[in-house]
This record gives sequence, structure tokens and C-alpha cells, in this order.
Amino acid sequence: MRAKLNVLMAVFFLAMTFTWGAHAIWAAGYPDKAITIIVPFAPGAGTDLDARGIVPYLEKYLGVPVKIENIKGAEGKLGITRLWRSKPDGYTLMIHTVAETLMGDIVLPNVEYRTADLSHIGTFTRGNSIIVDHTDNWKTFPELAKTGRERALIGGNPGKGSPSHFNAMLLMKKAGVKVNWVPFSGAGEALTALAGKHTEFSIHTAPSILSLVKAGKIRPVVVLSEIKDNVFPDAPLAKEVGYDVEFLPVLRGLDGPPNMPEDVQQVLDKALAQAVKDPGFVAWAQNRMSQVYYLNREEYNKLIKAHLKELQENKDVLDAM
Amino acid sequence: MDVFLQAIALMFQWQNLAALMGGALYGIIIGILPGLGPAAGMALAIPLVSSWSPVTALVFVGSLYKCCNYGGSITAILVNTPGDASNAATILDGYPMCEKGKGGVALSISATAALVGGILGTLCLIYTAPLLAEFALKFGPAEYFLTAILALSVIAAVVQGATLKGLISAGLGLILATVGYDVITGHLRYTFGILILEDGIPVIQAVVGLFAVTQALVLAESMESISRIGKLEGSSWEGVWTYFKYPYAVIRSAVIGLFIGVLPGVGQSGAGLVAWAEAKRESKHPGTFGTGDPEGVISSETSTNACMPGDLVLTIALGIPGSVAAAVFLGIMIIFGVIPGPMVFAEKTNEIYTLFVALILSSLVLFLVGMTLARYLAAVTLIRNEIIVPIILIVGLIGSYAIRNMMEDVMISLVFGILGYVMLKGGFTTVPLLLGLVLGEMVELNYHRALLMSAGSYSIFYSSTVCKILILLTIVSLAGPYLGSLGRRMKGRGKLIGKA
Repeated sequence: MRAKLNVLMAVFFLAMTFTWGAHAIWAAGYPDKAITIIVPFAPGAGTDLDARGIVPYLEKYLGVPVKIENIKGAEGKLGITRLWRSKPDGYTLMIHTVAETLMGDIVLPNVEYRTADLSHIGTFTRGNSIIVDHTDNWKTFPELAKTGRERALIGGNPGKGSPSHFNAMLLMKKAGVKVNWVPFSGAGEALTALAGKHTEFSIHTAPSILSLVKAGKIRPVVVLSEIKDNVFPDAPLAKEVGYDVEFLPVLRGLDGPPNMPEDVQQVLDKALAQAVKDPGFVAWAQNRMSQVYYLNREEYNKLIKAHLKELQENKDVLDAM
Repeated sequence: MDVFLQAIALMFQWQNLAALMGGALYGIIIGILPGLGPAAGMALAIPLVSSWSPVTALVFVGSLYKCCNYGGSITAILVNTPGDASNAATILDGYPMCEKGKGGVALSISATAALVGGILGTLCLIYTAPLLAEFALKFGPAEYFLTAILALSVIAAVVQGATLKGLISAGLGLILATVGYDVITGHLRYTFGILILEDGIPVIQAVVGLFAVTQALVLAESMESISRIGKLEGSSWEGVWTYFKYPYAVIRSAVIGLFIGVLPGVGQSGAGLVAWAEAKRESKHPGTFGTGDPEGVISSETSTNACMPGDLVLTIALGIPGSVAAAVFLGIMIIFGVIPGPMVFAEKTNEIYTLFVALILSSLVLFLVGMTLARYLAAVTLIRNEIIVPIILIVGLIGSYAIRNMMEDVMISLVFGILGYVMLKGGFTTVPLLLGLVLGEMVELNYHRALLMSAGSYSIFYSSTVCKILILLTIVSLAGPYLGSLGRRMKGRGKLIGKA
């Protein structure tokens, strides 16, 4: 008897956890039921935390429950493929790191989807790739580059084929620096190796390095972006240290499967536009140290095209990854 | 000390006590549900806690995080289904204890381990976090590789008695660990065009198959109940007494758990398995391990419970998350403005010290809950097989499915269930397979990374002091059993000579 009760309880709780925050408001047309947003990363990853920040406000402006489904694995391919194969009815969407998904088309083996063909709704936050080194090493990027022209540096990256990896390779190519790249599985491992001086520099986004920078272990030497980083406004941009390179920003975007109906896309576009301006979301992003960076549907589609062009122009860098 | 008094005062505000209890209960339930581990549990709690005060929210999440493991142990012991990969080792002796009617004793051992392991681990976290963090930073890829080899060397102890079959099992585990996308070379290996395999063989799904499904098949062969004697034996307090009869095993397992917890990326499943195998090797009666030896439960449970605070060492000291769960925890800390690092103890005194107090108190809550429920929960083992078998299968497979909402994961569990059944009937033990599966990736990736760093020179594997120590420990670990028997023989001969 008790065992049955336990199982009943288990099933009940399972149901409860998956409908967390369900307060359905029924409206005419789309949306009239819960929306699932796939996040192709584990809970706690940068993209996941940003997604969890925006979701309550998407719920608020869409008027239906929105739940996150973490489908991590195979460098995001499992989740992205799930989205690609799902019905384009607006009830299955994805929040992802735009440049990473785009690059995946090219650098990952056996990919069945084409990121450029997804229905792009908009972006809401951004991070910037930052090159960090140990505080016992070089103080500035030019010093680092000078050593790097004499001998190969040991560079860590949080994942092979990530936009940060690509950005760093672009810069190092321009600066003529030779690097032995060591790919790690995630920022945690890469940062441990850097803080313990097993690698000489590494490349990350702001929230993951803040603690170590404050602890005086590592130092941001250059920001790979055209705008100042919100967390490290004092860190110089690449163009300020003499390298004018076009980088890929680390944008979190909202996308649907290919060929979503126009009216569905418009509803989502409008809801996202309202959600990013909601004071609640703005405060959340500030606490999490994410930079709010909104692009509407039109701008986002343009950006995807620009990214694709940039990636094609740098085919050699991608091949060298 | 006054910071602690202040934190205790804060802790006893009603909302924080409520958060502690609520978090513990929520954590236990999340832990019981196979497939939902602490990471998913905490992520689901974010919308709930986001409007709370930082102290209350951290108490809730910390307590949840701490208690998940115990929930998983309950199902691991009673129905052979681990709630999470970390509970895999608890099955090995916990479930056989149930078969002997000692399910209640096993559960109370697990509750005591949650208390002792949790408190030992948390005390180390509180007082030595900066030191431990510095120590962890000494570990680069070469050191990780050697640590994994050292951990694998315990297989030698596990397979004693059936060496060949044990090694085949371990080899199979290591081969299975190579399946998937190689994050260093970017190639796919042994995926046969099946998308789900590109992520490698997932440990939890494999464990659900190897234990829950296999055991359901075994149980279905007879019309008895899990408890072979058809009744329960021993009181809850017997578990507590038994626990403290093995102080050496407790300390050793806590150290192993803490050590593995502090190193990022190794994980609780490794902690339990390595501690269990180490206890078996050190034991005077290794043969009883895996057949319901309480010392096996003590080792694995103490280790996994000490592992969790260890996981938080780098997270709190330097903001480096050591596991997926720690990454979620770190994310929540940052949202509440508690930026980890050496300064956090001064800047966010109340939040951090209340969190520490909460971790200790939640260990105590677990102990009390566990001791109260042990007898009643153990009654599950008296249910007749024709009822419990479908329940085990359904709960286990729902768990596999729930991890990523993928039917393919259920298939993986079923395949491993059949594999486990065949192995069992063939007289193979699955522990080496599991060790190989859990540690294989760590061995391979870090070997590759180390060589990338040294540009192909093997000297990186023995140049640092930590490397030398690890190599020495591995040699001792492998040669230990022989040295031991050699020593006994010498002694024996000495006596003979004495007599002559």
C-alpha cells in the first residue's frame, strides 16, 4: 500500500514539476496552450540562466505557461535537431547562443539542420568573449602577443567550436600569435586550468570569470567585441589595442522551427519586445550581469546573414579548429 | 565565531526554518524521482525563490541540493533504482541488505552517513575552502589523467577472485566510454549514425538499466518479495550502531568523497564507486562486499555525502562550478548578488554563513527524517514480486525518459538492462563496467589535453610533484595486495623459523 502511495506521490510530483508556474489564460488564436522552449544546454549554463530570466516575462506577455526543456548533448545538436524536427506551430521554440548554433552547422559532423533556415524571432541578451590570462603573466594583450610571436602559447577554451574559440582564433591570426589550443568541457574546467597556470590564457564571457578576477587570480586583457563589456568596462577592446577585427557576439536568441506562420512569428516578436523592456527582466539581467541586447525580427534576420558571411569569409579559421 | 552565532540567529527566523524544511523535503522528493537530480531540481526552483530574500533563497536551495542525494539512496537501497548517478555505488550493498530483510538498517546507515559525511564535508568546506581551492588548482590535465588512473586501479581490488571476467567487464566499460562526439578531435566514434549516441553513453540511463531493469528481470523469476526471508530484521538504531563500528572506513570514505568533490568534473558517481572499491580492498573480508555488507553502504554513502560540500569548495572560494549542479547553484548565488570568491566571506557574511549553517542543519534534518521513515519505507521490500516488478520498471524507465524527454534514453536503459542480465547470469560483475564508464572519459580527454599542452612530450605526466605523488600512490595501490600477502608469508616463515 505504502509503495503504491509513494509511486502515486512520485507521479503527482513529476506532473507538478513539469507544469511549474502553470496559470493558463485562455485566449483566442495563438497562443492558447503551454509553449515549450528547448535549451540545448544543461541547467546552469549561461544560455540556460538567461533563458530562465526571460521566460517569466514571455509568460506574462504571451498569457500562457512557458516551460523550459533542457536537452543538452552532442554539443547542442540533440536539442537543435529536436527543434528542427518539431511542428512549426509556435508551441516548440528554442533559446540558444546564436553564433554557436550557426557555427555548429559548419564545424560539427553529421548535422541535419540548417540554422539559417530557422524562424528567427529576436535576441535578448549578449555576452562578449574576453581573453583572460593569469595575473602573474602578461599585463596587456600586446605583451601577450609579443611572446606569442616568439613561441606557441598554451590557450584553453571552454569548448571546441564555440564562438569564443572562433573569436580568439581570429584575433590571434591577425596578431600573428601561435597557439596550442586545449579544448575543455565547459568554463569550469578551463578556468581551473588557467587559475592553476596549466594553460597560459583562456577565453570566456564575463559572468564566469568575475569571481576569479576579483580574487586577483586572472586578468581580462582584451574584449573581443565592438562595444564595451558591461561587467569589465575598463578592459580594452581589440581595436583599442590595435587589432580591428569583426567578431561574433555571444547573443542569446529565440528561434522556432523553419517556416513558422507569419502571424505566430508576429505574436512572438511583439511579446519578446515587451518582455525585454519589462523592469523585472531588466533588473534580473543586471543581477545576473547579462547585457540586455534586443534585436527585433528584422534586425535578427539581418544579423544571421551577416554572421553567415563572416563565417564563410573565415573558412580557413573554422577549418583550423 | 560570532559570525556563526549571527548566522544561527538568522537561521532560526521562521521563514528560514521553513525554507530549510521545504528545501529538504523538495530535495528528497526530487532525489527519489529517478532522472531528476539536484541540477534539475534547483533549476526548477529558480522561479519559486527569485522573489525571496537572498538568505532564505540560499537556505532553500542549499538544503535542496544537500538532500537530493538521500532521496536517491532510498530508491537505490529499496528497489535497486538509483535516483541519480551518484547513488550507483549505494546499490551494491544496500540492495542485498534488503534481500536479507535488513532494508531498514541499510536506510538508517544511509541517514547516518548523510549526517556524518555531510557534516565532515561541510566543516572542511567552512574551514579549509581557500586551502582546498589552492590544492585543486594544482591539478591540470596531466594530474587529472593520473587521478583517473589511480581511481581505475581500484578495479584490481574489485575483480579479485574473478580476475578475467572482471577485466572483461572493465574493458567493456572503457570501450563504452569512448562512444560519442570527441570534444578534442571533433570526430564521431561508434555512433552508427544514431543521433542520441553522439552524446556518449549517459551514466544515469545506463545505471537504471544495469540495476533497476536487470533486477526487475531477476525478481520476475520468482514469486517471493525483495526481502527473501519475507520479514524485516533489525531496528533503525542498529544502523547507527553499525555505522560507528567502522570509524576508519568513515574517515577514509569522507576523505575520498571530499577529494573527488573538490576536483571539478569528476562527480559524485565516481566518489561513491571509488570509496566502495577502496573499502573492499582494505577489508579483511572482501568477499562479503556486494552481498549486503554494511561497510559497503557506509563507504559509498559517506563518500557521496562528503562529495557534495566538496563540490562547493571551488564554487564558493573561486566561483568555479565543479559540476552541473554546482553551476546551477553558482547561477542562483549570482542572481542574488552573492558573488563567490575570497571576498565573499567578508562582503556577504550573513548569506554565506547562514548557507553553511543550513548545510549542517539539513544533514541533521535528513538524519531525523531518515531514522523516522526507515522502518516504514523498508516495508516496500515485503511487497510481492508480481506487484513490485512493474513498479520498479515503470519508475526506472520514467526516470530515464524524464532526463531529456527522449524515448531513446528508455531504449538505452532497456539495452543495458538486458546486458546486465546476461552479465549476471554469466557470472560477471557490473561494477568494473560502471567504473570504466564513469572514469573512461576522464582518462582519455585529459591524456589528450596534457599532450596538446606539452606539444607531444610525455614528460608532462611526471614532471610536477603532484604527478609524482599520484604515480607513487597508483603503484602502491596496485602492488598493495601482493605486498600484504608477501608480508604475511614472511611473518609466517619467521614464526616457523622461531619454532625450529
